[in-house]
Amino acid sequence: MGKLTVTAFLTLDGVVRGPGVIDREMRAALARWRRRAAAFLQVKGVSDECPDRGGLPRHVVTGDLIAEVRALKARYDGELQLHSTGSLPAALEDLVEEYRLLVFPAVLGEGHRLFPDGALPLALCPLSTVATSTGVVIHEYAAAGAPTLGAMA
Amino acid sequence: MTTLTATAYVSLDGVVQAPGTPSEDPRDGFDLGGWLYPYHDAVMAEYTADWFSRADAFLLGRRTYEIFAGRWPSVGGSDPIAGPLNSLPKYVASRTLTRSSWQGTVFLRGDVATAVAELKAEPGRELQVHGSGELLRTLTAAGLVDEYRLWVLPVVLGRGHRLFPPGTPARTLWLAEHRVTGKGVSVQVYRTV
Repeated sequence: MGKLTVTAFLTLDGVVRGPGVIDREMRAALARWRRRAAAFLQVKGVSDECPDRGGLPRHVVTGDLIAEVRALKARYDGELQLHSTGSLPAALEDLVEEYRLLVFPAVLGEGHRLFPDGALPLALCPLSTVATSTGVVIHEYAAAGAPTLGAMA
Repeated sequence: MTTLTATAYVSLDGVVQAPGTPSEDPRDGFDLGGWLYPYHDAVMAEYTADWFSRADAFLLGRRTYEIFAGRWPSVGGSDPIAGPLNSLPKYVASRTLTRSSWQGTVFLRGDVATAVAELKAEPGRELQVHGSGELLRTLTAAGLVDEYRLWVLPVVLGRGHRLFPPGTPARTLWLAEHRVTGKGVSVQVYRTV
């Protein structure tokens, strides 16, 4: 059973942007994730770009998002990777196992946010968080179900 | 010159509304309050104490001020948060409050950005904003914040008032400090200059 991972370059206000200047630590992280890929997924309006595939398959989802992604997860053992260039629809968010977010030290004030208004509330389990020499914070998270709410003592 | 710092709990999708309790800020039907709860730990307490020790004064919005006023005046001065909060000036931006029994409270009059710019021009260490989302959005838009101290929590909320809403002036910041707590909270300190 494969898992779906989402990679995105974000500003501090959560807007998806291009990678810009890729520093050494970012390059290392991208290469490490790239080695785990079994296939790449593209979804219109969510992921209009695909990284260098190096001969790995690419699947463009055009029909029933949930059914197609589930079928692809069943077909692969490794990672089905999506590089997001837009907002994640809630139906797709519900299918993601891991997030890889590269957060730039900048605010844009406009643009498509990876998690738009209406995103599903979601707790995440941090797998790794590091800062790079150019001030990018690289977060790796596993999806961990609904958030826990409570009152601070 | 005094440095204006802003400390906030932020969800991964940038929401700052009602981190502490389910009931603290239900404006616009927000029903996910209390999302900070699972993540508080000793590292967070240690950072908070260090940051509070650098304050010369506090600058608070009305909602955060009322939450603080309901809690801290009765806590002893040896507490690293209550000590500074009870003994130092507290400037409050409010359209409705005019008086308070909490010693050291000063209500800002007139345009908030002008009043805060005047406070920053005075000599001093740090004028600290804590929480106070609505005030912070005003200060950010006016370019008055020198340092953001963000607790980025590993949670997506999908609704609620945000730290940097659409229309926030675009700008580049500088990551001055980064650390991760034992519970996975990413401490990200950004400077604007």
